[in-house]
Order: sequence, then C-alpha cells, then structure tokens
Amino acid sequence: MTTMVHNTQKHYRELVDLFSRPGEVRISTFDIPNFTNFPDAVLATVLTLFDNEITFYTQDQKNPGEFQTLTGGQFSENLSEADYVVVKEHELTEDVMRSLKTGTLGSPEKSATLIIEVDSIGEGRKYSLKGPGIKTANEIEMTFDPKWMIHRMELCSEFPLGIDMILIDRRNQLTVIPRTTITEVE
Amino acid sequence: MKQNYAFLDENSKKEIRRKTLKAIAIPGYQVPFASRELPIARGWGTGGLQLTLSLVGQSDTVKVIDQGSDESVNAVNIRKLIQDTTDVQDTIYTDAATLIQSRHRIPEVPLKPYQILVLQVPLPEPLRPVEPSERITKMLHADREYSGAWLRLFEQIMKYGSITDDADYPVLVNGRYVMAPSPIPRFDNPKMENNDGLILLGAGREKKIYAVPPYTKVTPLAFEDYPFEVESFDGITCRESGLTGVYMDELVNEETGETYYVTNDTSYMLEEMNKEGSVR
Amino acid sequence: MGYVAVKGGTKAIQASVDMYKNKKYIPGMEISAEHVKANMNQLINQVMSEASLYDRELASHAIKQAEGNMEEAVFLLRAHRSTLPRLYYSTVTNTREMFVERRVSASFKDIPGGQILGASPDFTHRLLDDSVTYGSEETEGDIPPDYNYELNNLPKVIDYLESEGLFTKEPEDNSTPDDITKRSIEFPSSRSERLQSLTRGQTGAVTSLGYVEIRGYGYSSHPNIGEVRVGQQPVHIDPAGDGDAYYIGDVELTEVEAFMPADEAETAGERAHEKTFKIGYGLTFGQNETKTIAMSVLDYSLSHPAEASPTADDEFVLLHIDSVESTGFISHLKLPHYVTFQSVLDRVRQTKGGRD
Repeated sequence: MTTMVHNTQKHYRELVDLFSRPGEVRISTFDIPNFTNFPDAVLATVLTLFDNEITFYTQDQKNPGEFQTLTGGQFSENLSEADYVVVKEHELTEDVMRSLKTGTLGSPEKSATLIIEVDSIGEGRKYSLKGPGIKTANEIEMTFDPKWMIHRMELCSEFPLGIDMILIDRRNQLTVIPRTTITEVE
Repeated sequence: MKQNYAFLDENSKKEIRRKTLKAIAIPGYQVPFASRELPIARGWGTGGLQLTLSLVGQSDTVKVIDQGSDESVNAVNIRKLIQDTTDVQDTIYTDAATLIQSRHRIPEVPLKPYQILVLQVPLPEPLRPVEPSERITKMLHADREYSGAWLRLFEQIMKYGSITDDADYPVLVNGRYVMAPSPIPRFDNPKMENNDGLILLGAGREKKIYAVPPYTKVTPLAFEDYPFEVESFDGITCRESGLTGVYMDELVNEETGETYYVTNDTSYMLEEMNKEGSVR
Repeated sequence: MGYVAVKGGTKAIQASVDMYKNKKYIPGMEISAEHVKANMNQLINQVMSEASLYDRELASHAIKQAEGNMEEAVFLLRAHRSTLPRLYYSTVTNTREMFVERRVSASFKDIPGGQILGASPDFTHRLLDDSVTYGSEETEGDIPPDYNYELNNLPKVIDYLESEGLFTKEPEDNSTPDDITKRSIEFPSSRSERLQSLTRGQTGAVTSLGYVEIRGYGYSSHPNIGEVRVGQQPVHIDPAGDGDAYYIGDVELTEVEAFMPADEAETAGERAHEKTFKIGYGLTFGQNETKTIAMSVLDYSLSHPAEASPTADDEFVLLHIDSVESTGFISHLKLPHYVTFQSVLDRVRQTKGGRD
C-alpha cells in the first residue's frame, strides 16, 4: 500500500540521508498529480516538510496557492520571513540571497531552507564538497552558477548561522548542501 | 480505537522531521521541538521514540536496545509500540538493522553507512550541572562560552585527583558545540567520532533534538595532562563468552560472593558465541 | 557449543501486563465510562484541564481505564491528543459572552449582575456521609433568575474598576497565541506560553506554587479576587479566515481575574508614587476554581517578577508543573541504569585508588 503517509516518510528518509551525506544524489519516485510548474521532487519535498506552522516564499503566481492548499503552509511575500524558499535557479537574484534568514547565534535553526530547481545534477560545473557527513571529499557536477555558491558561502561563513540548500533537477534528482559544507568550484 | 501509522499524526511528524533536518545541518546543536506525549511515559524514551516514529517506514528493520540488551523490559516495550503501530520488521543484529533505538549504549558492532542510531536522552544540556537556567545555557552555547564546563572538570581534578564525570561525558562536536552524548558510558564516546552512520539524539521531556552526522569530529573534553579515560576493563574476560575489550556488566555470584563480568551488548555476545570457532 | 538465544524480557513484560489488565472484578460491580461521566464530574474537570483536551466522554474513559489514577488518566488523554490533527485555532472569544452558571466576587459585596453562587461544595460541611443520594427534584438553581441581566451577557467586575480609573486595561492582543504543543516554549516566555503552561499544569503543582507566591516568597500578600466565573463559553472557528465564523460548541470554563494592588509604572512620571491595580488571569477547562485562582496568582508573579522570588522565574515555574513530565521523569528512575552505574563505579574506584 502506498499512501501519502508512506510516500512522505520515504521522501523524508531520502532527505535524512542527503542531509547527512552532502553531495550524494538520489532520485525521487514520489508520484503525485502535480499542478505546479516545479518537478515532482520539488512538490514531494514541499508535501513532506510543509504544514500550517511554516511560512514559505515562491515566485511564480500559481505555485503559492497550490502549496498552500495542499499543505496549509503560509505564503509570505516577505522573503526574510520565509522558513522555506522554493525557486528556480534563474529566479535567484542577489537580493533574494541577501534576504534569506540565517538564524541567530542563539537559535541558528530559525533560518531558511532554500529549495532550488536546477537544470541538471550530474552534468555542469564540478563542485568539490567537504565537511561533516563527508569522509574525505565528495564531487558533484551540476548546472548551478558558482556565483550563487559564493553567495551561499558568505551566508554560511559565520557558523552556526547559515542556510541549507536542497537542489533538485528536472529529472527529479536531489542533492543537499547544508550550511556545514565547504564547497569549491573546480 | 483506530491508530495512525507510527502513532503520531502527520503534522506532528512533519514538525519532528523539519527539526531533525536542522539538527543534522547544525551538528551538536540542540534544536527545540514541540515534543508530543506518547503512550510511553516521559522520561522513558519518548524523545528517541518520537524520532524513531517520525523516521520508520515499511522497508525498515528495527532494533531496540536498553542497557545493551534487546530483551530489557523497556526495550521490549518500546519495540512493541513501534511494531504495533507499523508492523515493521525487527532484528537483534546490529548489522541487519536500518534503524536502531538505544538507551545508554552504542552497540559494539560499528554502524554502517545509511544506518541510523537513535539515542534516548534524559538530560540534553551538558551545561546544566553548572547552570540551571535554560535561557542562560542557550546564551552560553550562542557565545561558545564553555569555560564553566571546563572549570567543572578542572575542579574535579583538584578535588579527587582525576576527572570524575562518569557516563554522559561531555564532548565537543565539529569544534563548535559542547554536547551531552546521552548517558552512554565513556567507553562508547569514541564510537561517535568519524563514524559511518548517522546518530540522532532525542530528549522528549526536555524537547530537544540533536545530531552527530557521519564523519564528524567528536572530541571528549579533557586536558593534556589529564586525558579522557574510558571505563577500565583491563584483564577482565566475559564469563559467558570469553570476550575481552568490550563493555561489561559486573555481577555477583549469590552463592560464592564472587564478582564476575559478562558482555553488556548481548546481541553482539551471541553473534560472537554462535560464530564458527568462537572463543567458547 | 549450541546456539544461544536472547530470552526473558518479552515474556516477563507480557506476564506483567496480563496481571495488570486481568483485574479481579467483583461480578456486577464493574463501572462503565458512562457511570464515571455521570458521577465523577469534578474529577473529569481536573483531568480535562491537565490534559488540554476538552472531551468528557474520552476523559471518563481515561479515568475508568486508569482506575481513577489522576496522573495516568491525564497521561492517556495527552497521548491520545498526540494522534489528533489540530487544524484550526478558534476565533478570539470574549468571556463576557459566557453563559454564566456561577460567579462570585470577593472584592465587592454587590456587583452588577449580582453574585451567583451556583453549584459549589464551598459551603458544605465536610462530614463523611454514607447516605449521599442524588436528588431528582428541581432546585432553586434550575429556575432562571428573574432580573434585568442576561446570563450570557453579564458585565465584569473589572469593568467597574476601569470606569473608576483604578485599573488601566492592557491593550488588546488578538494575535495568534504561541502554542507550546506545536512549538516548544522558549525563554523568556511570552504571556500566551505562560498561560498555556499554567492552564495545563498539574492542579496540585499549580496550587502549591501559587501558595508559595502569596505566602512568603513573592507577592507575599493576598490578591483580591475580582471575579471567579464558571460557565459555558461558545467557541467559533473561521477556517477561511474571511470573518465568516462557525459555531462549533460550548466549553465549560473557569475564569479568574485577581486584582493586585501595585505601584504605578515609573514611566508614568508624576504619578509614579500612586498605587494602581494590576491583574492576574486564570482560565481553565471545566470547573477548577482553586487551580484557576492559583493560576491567576502565578500569571501575575511571572508577568511582574519580584526580585529573587522562585515564583517569578518562568523556567522554575513552567518547566516543573507539567504532570506528564514530572511523573514521567521521577518514575523513570526505576528503570534499569546498570550501564551508567558501572561507569560510576569505575570513577569511584578510580578516586579510591588515587592517582599518583
């Protein structure tokens, strides 16, 4: 039997593995009617993590309503309030990056999780990752502009402050780069 | 009455899941969570159990231990609740489990990649012995102000000639947070360092979740001239299995009054004893 | 050597559970949850209040299942509460709309709307009486009073103080309260977190600490109870958030407003040396008058902290009054701790052996 309960549990476990092992890649098989303009794996992540206790930000006009109806999550136009920011890579701007909340020294968990749709994981720029969860170094290729990675490094430069990123491509592949990961463009 | 899969309602699980991911992203930091009441008493493993219930799914194999034993009454009770609400498979073999919930021990068999060890935590705040107030300890962690924790160990040395902290010996995680590893014996502390699996720690009553991701630096607090010491079982052999170099239970023979030792991690002991050409 | 298997725990625990569940009922004497509901009203009130779950049927069931053990009954309901989705917050409710069954003021002899004694054990003589029976006759309380007030629109004593300029009403705060069962309490606590912790608090613990506050370690003086009212409060939800609210039922509540004479705030400049009234507020599910009064005292002490008073410390009060938490942690001490004790033995022996 596969119900929403089991699907979200399974997706969550993928996220647990990915958060614990930055740079590893998983493919989501979460199958669901999708009326957003994001890949299914983005919607799966939203369904797994959102409920009426969180606020989110997203740009395209039809997605907020869909996320809200499906999860009860509260849409906020104010980026700096959002617990979750769901965007496509081309929607990223310096302003968006700068507005993300990075938590406080006392409560670093009150920070944004960035869910980004990229064109491809597996091809593109090569990144080398180090940090907790990585034995020596992980390498990952993806079509993700290094300038955003540099912005991310700035946001994460004062650990424990920072943001965590879930990157998802159009083939529903996921990878996670939490705030502890040190990234280098090769 | 009809029960949910894995007992909790889905929104409760979501909150625990969100907080758990944050905990993994901030190694050693105690993330506050709402903490639901469970059908098992607060203080009896509800933090660990909430983590397990938020994690567990149909393809899992679960192992539950308390005091190193799968058959300890509390372990049996917790495993029963997990199985009654999920029908998930169980095992006593560390190697065969995908999800291990434990109180007071890290198994002798090293964790594998993708395995998750959930530890039950009674008192998650390592600074509590030096500071009763939560808002102050939160500030101390924010400021990375750990001189109180160090001073405490120093005072023990001054008074007793050695560090007297027993189980739940404080560690520094990823060079940033001082963390209570839960009341595991010091013997198990080194297993946290740079290990292959994920360790999640849950405190239900104190409402905190924290984590040690795989391959993370975990260092016990100690001084160069008074280094960290694990419990000594030098020269001691398990009476049942002949094993050495494992954590032991100390027992007394009622008739002779003689003290003897038995391997604490019972499933490991059985595995070793059932191996071809075992010591015994 | 032959195969060795683990054994013991599963059988032992099953036998223990069987012994506990297989109660030796005297034939014909077993009571039903309906009996509990019909006879144990005050116990139900206390259980619902500590459990934060308003449901008389479920509370009765819990009391029966727990064999009347308060902490177990509360525990059962709290655990059940964890399985229920919580989808809505009620709209802001005004206790001026409460259908009042009982209200007394200790502050004024005569209050607008009058003192309504209602049903209360306050003035019974506590003599054990083996002939208690249940009346079927109509009592005076069943007859609606004939006067100019409506019972669901009674003015409050506090309104009088305000009209006299003796009490400055706090600005209304209708923001969504912080729900400590959805996000854990953080310190310094917000007022809504304090009120929620107190209303869920163990009756005995809240009463004890309220007593501490007024006896000698805080305010150290009487509050004046402006009003205790007990009655049925209508509850509405507004799912769409468009102001179109639905009535979903009544809950019985006990509400207390306690007056505390206090100094006018220093910021008031010239009036800094005047006295004024401050308020302590209590509100609980069901009729729980003592607890609610104690709650109002603690609401005051936590909102207007006196120096060095334990009852002014929100962590000290709020983290230790929860029945499920305190009983759980105390009782867990009987669980095996031999791994940690082995570790203690190791350290104690180390100090005995000394170190050169």
